[in-house]
Amino acid sequence: MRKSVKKLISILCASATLLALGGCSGTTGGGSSSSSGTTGGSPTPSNVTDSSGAPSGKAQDVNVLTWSNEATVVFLKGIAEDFHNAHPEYNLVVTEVPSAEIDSVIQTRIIAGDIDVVSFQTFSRPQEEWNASSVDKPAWQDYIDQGLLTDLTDQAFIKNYNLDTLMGNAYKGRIYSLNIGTVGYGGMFYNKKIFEELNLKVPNTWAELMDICETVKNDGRYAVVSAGAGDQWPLNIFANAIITANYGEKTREFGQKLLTGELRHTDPEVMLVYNCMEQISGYLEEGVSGISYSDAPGRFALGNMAMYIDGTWSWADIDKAGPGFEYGYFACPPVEARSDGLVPQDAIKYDLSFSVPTNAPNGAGGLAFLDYVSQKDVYSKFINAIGFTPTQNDIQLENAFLNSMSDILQKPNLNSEMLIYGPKGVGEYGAGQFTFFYLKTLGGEFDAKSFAEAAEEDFDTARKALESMG
Amino acid sequence: MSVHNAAAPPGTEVKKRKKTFRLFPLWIVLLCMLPGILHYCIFRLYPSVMTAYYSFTDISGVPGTSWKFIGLANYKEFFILQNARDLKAALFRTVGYAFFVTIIQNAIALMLAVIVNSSFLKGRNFARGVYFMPVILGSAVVATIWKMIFSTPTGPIYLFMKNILQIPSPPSILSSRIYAFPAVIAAQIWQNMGYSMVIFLAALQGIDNSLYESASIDGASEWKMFTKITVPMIWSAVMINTLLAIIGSLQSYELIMTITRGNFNTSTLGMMAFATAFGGGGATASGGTISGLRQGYAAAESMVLFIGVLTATIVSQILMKRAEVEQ
Amino acid sequence: MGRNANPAFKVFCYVLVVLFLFIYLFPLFYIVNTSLKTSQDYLLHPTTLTSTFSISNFGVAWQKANFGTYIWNSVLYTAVCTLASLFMSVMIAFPISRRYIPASNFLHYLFLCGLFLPSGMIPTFQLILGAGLYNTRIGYMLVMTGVSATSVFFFTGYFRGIPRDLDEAAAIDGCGYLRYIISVVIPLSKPAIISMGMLSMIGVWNDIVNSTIYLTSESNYNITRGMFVFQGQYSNDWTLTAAALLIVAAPLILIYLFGQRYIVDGVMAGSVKG
Repeated sequence: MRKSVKKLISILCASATLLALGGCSGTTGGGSSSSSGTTGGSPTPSNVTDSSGAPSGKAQDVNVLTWSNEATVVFLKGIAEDFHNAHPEYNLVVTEVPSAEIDSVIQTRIIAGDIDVVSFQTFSRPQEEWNASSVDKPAWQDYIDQGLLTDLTDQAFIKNYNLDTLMGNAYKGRIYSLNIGTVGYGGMFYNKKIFEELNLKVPNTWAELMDICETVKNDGRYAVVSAGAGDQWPLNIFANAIITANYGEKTREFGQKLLTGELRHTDPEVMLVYNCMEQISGYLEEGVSGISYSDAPGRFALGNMAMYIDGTWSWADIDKAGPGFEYGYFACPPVEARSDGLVPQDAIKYDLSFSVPTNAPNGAGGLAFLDYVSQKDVYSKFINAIGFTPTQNDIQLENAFLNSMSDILQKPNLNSEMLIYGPKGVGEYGAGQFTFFYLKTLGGEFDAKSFAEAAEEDFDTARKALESMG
Repeated sequence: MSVHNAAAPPGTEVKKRKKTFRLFPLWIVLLCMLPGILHYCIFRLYPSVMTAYYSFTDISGVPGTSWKFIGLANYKEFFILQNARDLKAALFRTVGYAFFVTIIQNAIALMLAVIVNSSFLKGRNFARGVYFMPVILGSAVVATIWKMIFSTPTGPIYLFMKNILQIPSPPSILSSRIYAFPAVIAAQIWQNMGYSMVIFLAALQGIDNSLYESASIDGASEWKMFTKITVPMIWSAVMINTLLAIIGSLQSYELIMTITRGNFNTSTLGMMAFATAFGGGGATASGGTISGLRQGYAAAESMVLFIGVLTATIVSQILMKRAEVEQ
Repeated sequence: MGRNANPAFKVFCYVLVVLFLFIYLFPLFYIVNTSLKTSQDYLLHPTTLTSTFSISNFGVAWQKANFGTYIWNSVLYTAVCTLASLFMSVMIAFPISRRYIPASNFLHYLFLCGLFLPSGMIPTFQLILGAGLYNTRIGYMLVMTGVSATSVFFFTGYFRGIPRDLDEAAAIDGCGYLRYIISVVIPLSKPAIISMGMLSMIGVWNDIVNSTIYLTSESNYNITRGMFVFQGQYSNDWTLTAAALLIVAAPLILIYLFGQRYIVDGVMAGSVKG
């Protein structure tokens, strides 16, 4: 028995030596492997056309990867037959993976060159010259920079779309993903019956929203406002909505200044956000942090909740859970009413965008698929099925709710979620970017002021660490 | 089962060795070993060695792209760039995970093994079988079971807290920055306790019953018999269980990945390395994601974990040796 | 501890045993109960005993999750990987335990290193990719097979307990090496084989990490992967999830129920000798 310690240590040493040896031999071999790496070169879009010479006999699969979203998946599977009829040389194969896994699966499948069409959301937070030293490249930018996504800008089907909208999601002026629709998610649903009963009007300023909350609270019969906060993001995006509501077009600048330190979390411009967060958090339904997002729309549809924070896309779930239930949607109101006289505008993101990897086994098929869904009639059915805001012009929406949104989507801005950076290595209070859960009212440790201070400290620490790294 | 059994038998064997070579033709023995050795070298040793190497590079993982040697930059980024407070917390969680799993799992396992081994207990085979059951289920199933048990607002734990303990607004366990981590630890223990228990049982059955009989004639209490006879006699099983639990829990991330995906302050080093390599939340000490393809950085995280496992193993073994000598 | 332990101690023991039986059985019972409820019933009364016994959940889950395809993949993966792992482990552990080959100590340590070495997820992925085995059954099985440190450790220990005289007798009788291992050594080490085989089966059947990384076509999915994708689609329907869960767990639970004694005894025997 005495020997076993020695033995064990010798095993451990052996494994350590082995690794050390590996490191050494690795370095010597490194030169060659990295040089062979460069000569390999990045795949060029020409690969796509190479594979277009499809064998005449058997239909080739076009593999489309998307995340689990019932409406999208059902629609895509539903058009498989029509697509095959239109393009007899191709078969449409749709694979869905749980949303939580989509990033991993996109990564492995793009790297493996195993997929023809992948789904992204907004291409946000790129690494640019001004922030190159303080943030990493996001995965999508890496894919594009390494030549892995096909440039779609010159494809014929792009003309079917509103180019201004698509360019909002472009990279260096080129379009790498075909956005099917945008969604608003900078506001909340409200229960029309409760609003009517308590004589409430959709708010145009933050103070009006607070009055509404107070009225519902004092009435006492209904929960004031809720969200599927068990999944964290559904509530946190509302913090971002507050920023977008108040800073509008200047949100991008706001995010840049925050990263560079020109703007501090403790400055009044940012404190405004923390204060609003703290105020609204006082009206959130009790136990909100435990309500899972998948249950949340159904709970709103039960009818005993005045307001419900979520993205506009949830109308389908609400309809399904409570047929006939009457609801509307308003955007998060700014502290001061808009000067242009418009009602508060919603914050949006680009949802469901399709890209074709350059190393796709059937890139031509992937493009054929994009072309197919871009045809006006197919597109129109698609957008009505998934209920997003269309990116093609003159599309007739059948859904009354979506049509009612046109007011608050006249001049929408990108949600600040996609414009606000945290420096590399930033601590959790800063990394979570206005995460509600650190607030005392939700079981956290801070009030608005101390939260801002903690976030600023984390930003500061990260900036200093970056400097020390050089 | 103890580590020392793996040792070479003492020198007397040396003479015999020459002879035994000739029992079966060497080439056929080696040929039979070949698939295993090859597979081990290709799928275990080579990847480990390459991980060590990659950790000094900025490799992205995309085939055909260039990458270069960047020295210790990945390690520097891990230790210096990350928020010190959060890094400390994440390392503390990793160690805490291993520590609590090891201690609690083995304590419960030993206790139940002793009880289930008692001859007076009726239905002890049944109990033994039930305790071992979750080992069969595997992480994916265990994670989903516990997600259901802890779910809000329909899960039994939530309803128990609300209706029986009368807590006015019970926390939602799996989305709480305080309770989610202990819940994952509990799930890990629930899953693996049976295995430790069975190893203890095996060791217990090797103890000569007459030791207990003579002790009980001397009027020794149960506790005394336990500390003076049982524990010393099964010390090798204690050591092996500790070793397996420490290594297993330090490296494990399946349960964390499947239950919380590293959210709500549950990410450990193993989870961070996985999330960095294959995307998703819980990749940084602060609970964020590592954007982009940073396989070199992921490799560095794996190496930090490896060094941690190595250290923990050596320290624990030395401590347990010392404890044995003192007995 | 003998039959004549003091009564207070006995009561204490029984209390503990029952308490832990509850901790271990309650979650399983809860899942079974939930799987037999209708969705409506579950939302209204999540904790009451089921009154509906809606077996149909299982049918629905089976069909919607496409388990009919995945289960055969899982059976294939589990069988092949387990058998291959066992074969390789035995073939390596036996000569090491007998020192039939030069440098057997070194080899022994080399395999034990596997316990500590950093996991090589990234290089393994590159390896499979480079070999063109990504999203193939073979590639996945290559990753899932392996000579684990624990199995070499268990088997070498166990084989030492088999008398060396048998080897000599076999060699003198002119029995071939492979035949000797298969017809003598393996039957004699049944408990160790069962316990290691079971561990390997559990690992492969329940794998979720590698199947997410390496299997992308639905036709190659294993059953756990299928369950996760299904969960992503029906995340708010706990009754279907519970049914899917039980379908995934059922085969191993059945094997366990019938072979419980073998399996637990096997693990015990393996650990004593090891």
